[in-house]
Amino acid sequence: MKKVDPIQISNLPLKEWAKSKSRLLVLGKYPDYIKLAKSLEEKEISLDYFYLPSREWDSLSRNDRWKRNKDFISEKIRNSKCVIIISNYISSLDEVDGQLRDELDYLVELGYHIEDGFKVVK
Amino acid sequence: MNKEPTIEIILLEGFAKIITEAAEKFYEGKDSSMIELLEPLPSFLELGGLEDDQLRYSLLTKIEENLKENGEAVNFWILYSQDKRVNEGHYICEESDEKWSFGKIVNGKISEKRTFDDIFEATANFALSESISICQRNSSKIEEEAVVSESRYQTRTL
Repeated sequence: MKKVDPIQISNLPLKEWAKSKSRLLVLGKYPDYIKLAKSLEEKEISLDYFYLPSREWDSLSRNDRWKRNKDFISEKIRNSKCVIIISNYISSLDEVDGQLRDELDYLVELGYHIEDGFKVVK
Repeated sequence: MNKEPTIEIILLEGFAKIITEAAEKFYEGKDSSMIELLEPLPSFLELGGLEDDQLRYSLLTKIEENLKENGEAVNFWILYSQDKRVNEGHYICEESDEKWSFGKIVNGKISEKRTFDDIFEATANFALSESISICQRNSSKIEEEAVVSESRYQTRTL
């Protein structure tokens, strides 16, 4: 799955979103999503992304990992207006599997849809 | 004359099988953690598997052979890497030129990276390093818990 071009991300009005009190949430496949999130943090862009300490992650089953991830997303989108970006291009949900598919299916269930292959909006 | 396999070879083949199949079992089971699935592996560390380059190389080679016989296991290890939600650790991913990279993320940046033409070699490296890291993190956690428990005991007996 192709990574999103960093130029496309930097062209987004990320600071304006932050000023308008929208929260930016970063999703994607490891390690792409964590690299994208850290690079945005370095630009002082306020954002959220889900991760657990490795020891805790190792001790969880697949079901428990998804439960923790879902609870995190649920809390973020409930408490504020959220703009969600994905570190990997999605041309169709059918090409996505694993944890990212669970994340996107959950957001689609809540009325979100994928825009331009890397944004998730309501 | 056929030589009987040594105990080291039998153990090594057992460890290689456990590592090869761990990701597949993780996705099939849904209720097992990787720590549980890799439970016998700390014996490899006790055998000195980390310090002994030859032992580690033999295990890596055996995992690679197993992966060549079980292509599904490769897919599950790649999915396992993509599904990680941690801020540092090992990864495997496909590069744009049909090569595969295996590396490590520290503070959101790549701190180690090796590129492979061969998906089996890259996956074997990832599967072995990830499995050993999981066991090491878990054994240091157990040691820390034992120290805490010991200090609590000493406090009570003082």
